[in-house]
Amino acid sequence: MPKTYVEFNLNLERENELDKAVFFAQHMDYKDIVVNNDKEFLKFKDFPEPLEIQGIKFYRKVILTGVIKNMQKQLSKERFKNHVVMVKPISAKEATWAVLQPMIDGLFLSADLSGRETWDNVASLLNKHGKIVEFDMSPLVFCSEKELSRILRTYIRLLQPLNPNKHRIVLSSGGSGVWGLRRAKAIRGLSKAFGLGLQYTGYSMSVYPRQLIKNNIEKLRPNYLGGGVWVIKDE
Amino acid sequence: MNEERQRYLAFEILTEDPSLNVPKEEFVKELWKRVHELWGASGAAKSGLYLINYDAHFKTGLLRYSHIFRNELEAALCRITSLAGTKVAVTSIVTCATVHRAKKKATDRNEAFEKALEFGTFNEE
Repeated sequence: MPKTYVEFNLNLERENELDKAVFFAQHMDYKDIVVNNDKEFLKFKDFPEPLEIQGIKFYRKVILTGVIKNMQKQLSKERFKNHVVMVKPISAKEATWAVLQPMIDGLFLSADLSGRETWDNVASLLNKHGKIVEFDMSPLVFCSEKELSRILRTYIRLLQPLNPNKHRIVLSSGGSGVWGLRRAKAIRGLSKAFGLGLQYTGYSMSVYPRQLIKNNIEKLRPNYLGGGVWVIKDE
Repeated sequence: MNEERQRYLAFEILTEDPSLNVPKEEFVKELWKRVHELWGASGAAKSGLYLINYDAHFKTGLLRYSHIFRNELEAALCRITSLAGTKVAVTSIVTCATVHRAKKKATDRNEAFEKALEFGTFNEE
C-alpha cells in the first residue's frame, strides 16, 4: 500500500498559514498538497515546478462554480491551462456539461448537492472520458450531530451510480484553513461510513491525485496535441 | 466468532494554543460522543475502547481498542474538532499490538512523548 499521501483540496486563508500547513502535513503523513488558488496571495511558481518547503510540495487547483455561464467565462482564461481544474456542480445538468469539457479534470462532489437526482448519465460519462470524482470529506468531519445523517445519506446516493472498480474516486479532507487537515487514514476510515469500502480507497489519496498532476504536466509539453496525442517529428 | 484482539493506539492533540491543557474527562467524553454518533451503540460496544494513559500537559495519550475497530476509531478521532473551547486536530501517532511497542514507537516519532516519559506519566499500569 502506498504511504505517500496527497491532500487534494486545501484552502489556505492567510499567507502565513503556509508554514503551519507544512507542520500539519508532515504530522499527517502527506508528501504533496494541492492548494486551491482562489486567493492570489500565495504567488506560486508555474504548475510543473511546485512550491517546495521542507520536503512538502504544493501544487495548485481551481474549483469553479457550478453555473455553466460562469464556468465558460472562467475556462476561457488562459491562465487555467497549468492547473488541476475541478468543477463543483450544483446539479446533474451542470455535471454532465462539465464532464464533456476537455479542460476539466473531474467533478468535486460536496454535501450541498441533492442526492435525489439521477446521476447515472454522469457516471457513465465520467467513466467514458476518464475523469475523476472527488468527494469532499470536510462536511463529514465538521458537521454537527444533527446534520451527519443527512450528509451521509447524500453521499450514499451520490456513490450509488459509481463503480469504485471503474471510476477513479479521490477523497480529500480539505476544510477551510490548516485546521481542516486530517490524517489520510482517518479520512479513509470515515469513507467507510457512507459505504466506500477500504479496499477501494487504497489509491484514492495517493495514486489517483498524483496521476492527475502528472497528466497536467504532460499537457504543457510543446508537442502535446490533446487527448493523449503528441506530435512526433522525424529526425 | 473470532476472538477479540487488543490493539494500542498512541495519539496526540494538536491545539491552536500550545500551552492549553485539555482535561482527560473532556477528551474521553468527546471521544465517546463521536464514536456513538458515527458508529452507533453497536459499534461503540464492539470498539473495546479504553484510555490507558493520558497526559494533559503534552496532550498525548494511549488508547486500547479492539482490532476490528481500527479505521472506525481513526474516523471518530478525526471528528473531534474542538476541545476546551479551542480548535483541535486529534491525530494517531502509531498503532501496535503491545503497550511496550506502542510507547517505544511513539517515543521515536514524537518528542512530546519522550518528554512525557521522562516525567513518568507513562508508567505501565
